[in-house]
Amino acid sequence: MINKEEIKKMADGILHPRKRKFVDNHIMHVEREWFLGVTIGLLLFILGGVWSFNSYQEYRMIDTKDSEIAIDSVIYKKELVDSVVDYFGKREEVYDNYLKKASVNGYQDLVIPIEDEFDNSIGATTTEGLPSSISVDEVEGDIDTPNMDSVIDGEILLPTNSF
Amino acid sequence: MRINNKTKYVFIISIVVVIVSASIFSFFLFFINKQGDRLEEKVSLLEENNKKEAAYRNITRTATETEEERLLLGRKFLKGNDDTIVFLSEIETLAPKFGLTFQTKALDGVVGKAGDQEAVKATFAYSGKKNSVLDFTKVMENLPYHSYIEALTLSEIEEGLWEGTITAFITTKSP
Repeated sequence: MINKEEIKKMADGILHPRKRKFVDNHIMHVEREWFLGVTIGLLLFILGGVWSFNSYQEYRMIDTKDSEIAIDSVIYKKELVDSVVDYFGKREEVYDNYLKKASVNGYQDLVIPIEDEFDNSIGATTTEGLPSSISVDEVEGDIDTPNMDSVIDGEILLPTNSF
Repeated sequence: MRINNKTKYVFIISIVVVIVSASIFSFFLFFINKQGDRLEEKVSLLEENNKKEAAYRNITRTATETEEERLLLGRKFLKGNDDTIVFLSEIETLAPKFGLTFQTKALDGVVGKAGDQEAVKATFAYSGKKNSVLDFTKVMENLPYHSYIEALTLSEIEEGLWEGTITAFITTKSP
């Protein structure tokens, strides 16, 4: 027969069930440690693999680009050179025309017309209306002088106008 | 709790293996990084050399292509005293062809306005018929050299006889 004490215990057991506590008193767990070790090892292996793959990708296609920048950096002012060559060509032509005139004519009569392409600043191509005295300072050449300094002996020099 | 000898042994071996593995891993990491750096240095050096080579090729090509222009332009400068003497004698020979009496008034080696060019500063006086004087002036203005006229004076010294005084700068260049 169930006595009163036993009934109380049973009721207490139903109303206040005791939680079962899992208490592990072992410090080392071989399986856990191996699992941790292997996991860390795998992680290191995977990270190393990723890093290696990245490095491989980075250095796999190293291409030494034959840069165009270097080629573009060599400046040769062709237009300027051409204009200077043209300028001196015209100038030499005028010079030669006058020499021809001098050698052919001997300057007894002015027969050969000089085709002067340039309007000299002193304006002394005509003999009429010329004052009895002209003085000009700093007469530049009659042609719009290109910048010679940039093309002297093909060197690339600093731009300055004559003197 | 007691740890038995076998567990201790396994634990020590594991520690040793981890340390050795980490060391080898670190060594390879360091070694590969170092090699990578060296490779980058060499690649950049190679790029630089390629650029220099391209520039060299370009300059050589430009020099070859522009040889004619450079020679032509080089002749537009007086090179040294010899050229100056040749120029002067050329001018002095030229003046009589125009029927002029000619005189070199002054001749100096000067530095141009920009300070980086040397030039010959020459002052000439010439006299004769008006047309001769004017034409000779034009010749002086159009000398086949890199030159310019600094000053010019034209005057009629007597009836029909004109005199011109001209100061010209002719750029010189070391040969």
